[in-house]
Amino acid sequence: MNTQFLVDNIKRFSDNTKNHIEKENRSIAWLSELYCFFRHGCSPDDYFRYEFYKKSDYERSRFITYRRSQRLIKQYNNPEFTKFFQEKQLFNTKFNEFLGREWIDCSKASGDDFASFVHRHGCILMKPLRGGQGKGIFKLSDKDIRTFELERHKDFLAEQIIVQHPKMALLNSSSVNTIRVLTFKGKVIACALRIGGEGAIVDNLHSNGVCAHLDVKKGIIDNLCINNKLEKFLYHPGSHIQLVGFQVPNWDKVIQTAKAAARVVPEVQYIGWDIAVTENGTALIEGNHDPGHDVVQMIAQTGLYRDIQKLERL
Amino acid sequence: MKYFGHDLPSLNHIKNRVNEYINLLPEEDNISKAWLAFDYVRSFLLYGCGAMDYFLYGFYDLNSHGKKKFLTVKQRVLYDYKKNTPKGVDTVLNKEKALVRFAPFINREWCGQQYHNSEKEYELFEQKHDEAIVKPIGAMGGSGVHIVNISALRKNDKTLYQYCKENKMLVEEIIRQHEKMNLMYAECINTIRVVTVDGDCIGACLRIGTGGSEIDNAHAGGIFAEVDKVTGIVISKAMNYKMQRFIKHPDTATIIPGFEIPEWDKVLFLVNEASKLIPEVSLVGWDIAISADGPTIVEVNHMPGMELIQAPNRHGVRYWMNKKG
Repeated sequence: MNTQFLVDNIKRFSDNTKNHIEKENRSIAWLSELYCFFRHGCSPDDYFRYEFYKKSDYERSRFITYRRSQRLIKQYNNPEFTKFFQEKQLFNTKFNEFLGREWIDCSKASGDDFASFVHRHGCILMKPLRGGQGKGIFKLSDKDIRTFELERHKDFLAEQIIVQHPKMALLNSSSVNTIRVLTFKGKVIACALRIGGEGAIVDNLHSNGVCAHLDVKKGIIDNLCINNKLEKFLYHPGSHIQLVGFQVPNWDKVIQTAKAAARVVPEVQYIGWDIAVTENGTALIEGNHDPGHDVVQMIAQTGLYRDIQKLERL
Repeated sequence: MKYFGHDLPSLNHIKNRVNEYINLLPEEDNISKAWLAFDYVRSFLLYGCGAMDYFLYGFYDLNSHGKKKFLTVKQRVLYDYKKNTPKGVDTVLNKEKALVRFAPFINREWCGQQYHNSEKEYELFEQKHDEAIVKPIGAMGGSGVHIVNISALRKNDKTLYQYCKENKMLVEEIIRQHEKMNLMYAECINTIRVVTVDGDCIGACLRIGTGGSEIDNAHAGGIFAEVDKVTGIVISKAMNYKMQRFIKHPDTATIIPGFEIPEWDKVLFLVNEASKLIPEVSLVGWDIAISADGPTIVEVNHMPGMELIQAPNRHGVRYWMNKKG
């Protein structure tokens, strides 16, 4: 852990304190966070995302915090098999049946293959093999293929662009809005819908998007949505579509896909799946062996650690 | 024992209520009963919460900062005692007086015991309507409210006048509900509870009847969900007093979060104007129905149950009281 990381965290924590906690209680917030860190393993960001400043100790123990998440990853995700999730070309080969799109490995493809692939789809998505949070992804259209140098993009993956369900495109058309499904031991624990910000190409929260809590049984947004700054939204900030009450189409297929995909690599049991909804079904975007523990819990403020502990005992 | 004009419940009653709620908690929670009892007593002493407050707001999940954000029974009673004058309270408690006071916002016919009480008026009423709703004048929580069939009454050789006189009831024309509200549940009037402090809306909730019930009161098994006070859109799942949560209506399967209440701007306007008519009462809970001709007042409460607006999303509104002093 370097000093810069620590300084950043303290800075963020102090900013958040000003936004969320009344003046008279601020001094105690630092002590309270220190206690929560040692007792519950909660990071400074968790403290505000889960509103630990107003929760009792019992309720705090219901949440998957940073340390608990790390423990689950260490215990249930075999590091020898996490390469299927880290490396995109291995992931795509392993989970080919769920992908719902064509793809090509740039390091193996010849120039002609690549050109015909781009020509066939008109416009494709280039993804770097490593890297998270949507960094380094760009679109490549048929027109730009002449100036494009394949040699310099050997560590990329070319993928057909997913055409999402028109109902999902209504929410925000510039990004593919994916559903994050958290599975543990093959069971679906919770779901969240991430919607990109206006004009953003990815749907991550880091790009001004909002995320919504979904009812696992019905696939309906049942709470106000939240953004990176923990502001609450009833309407999408860009498209002004009403979010609360929105029903995700093909919901049964989303759950089926997540359950089926969770069985493919049984050595990795604690996974966050990103699933897009298309006209006829679903498309699995990626699986995270290091799933964000916050997005599924912080919107509706429901702790999931008890559910996970129950499954652990089985 | 009396507490600012209200009867305090007996210890035994409180014990039973707490026990009832403990049994309703999900089993996998397994919070120890002794801890809950201890924490309940502590919260009661420090924050003045009743058994319903404690369990519906999830006080067992909150620390002192979280508990302070909720408006509990004690604060509600104290505020009522300080700011609401007895004369104003009497007006809203008596359903008849309230109907007279808020006449500009009531678009239905009614006959009572003090006002519109002549036999002739009852006869006129009988001629116009085949069914009517009768309400006991002083009752709360929807008890005794039911629909009477006037022709069935006549078969029993009884006039509406006699029936109402015997039971000390007032009779009202049945409100024709807006089509959109009928989509939610058609067998009763689904009212909106808007809570105002000096005319400012501090929260709203939609109350929905269930299971063939003729009234939407939560005491009678109805469910309620929080409404965004700016846009009039339901922003939470619905819940009932048994702490079950519903994403779809159990009978009609209408999706509850995201449901848009029609003519919401008119509701806000009505509440604002109507609160000018009763300046003696500061904290008012308005029961508004959306009729086919627009919003109308069904009932007025001087000490509204805050669980309706605070419990569904567990979102406290105490800061409003602090603002108003």
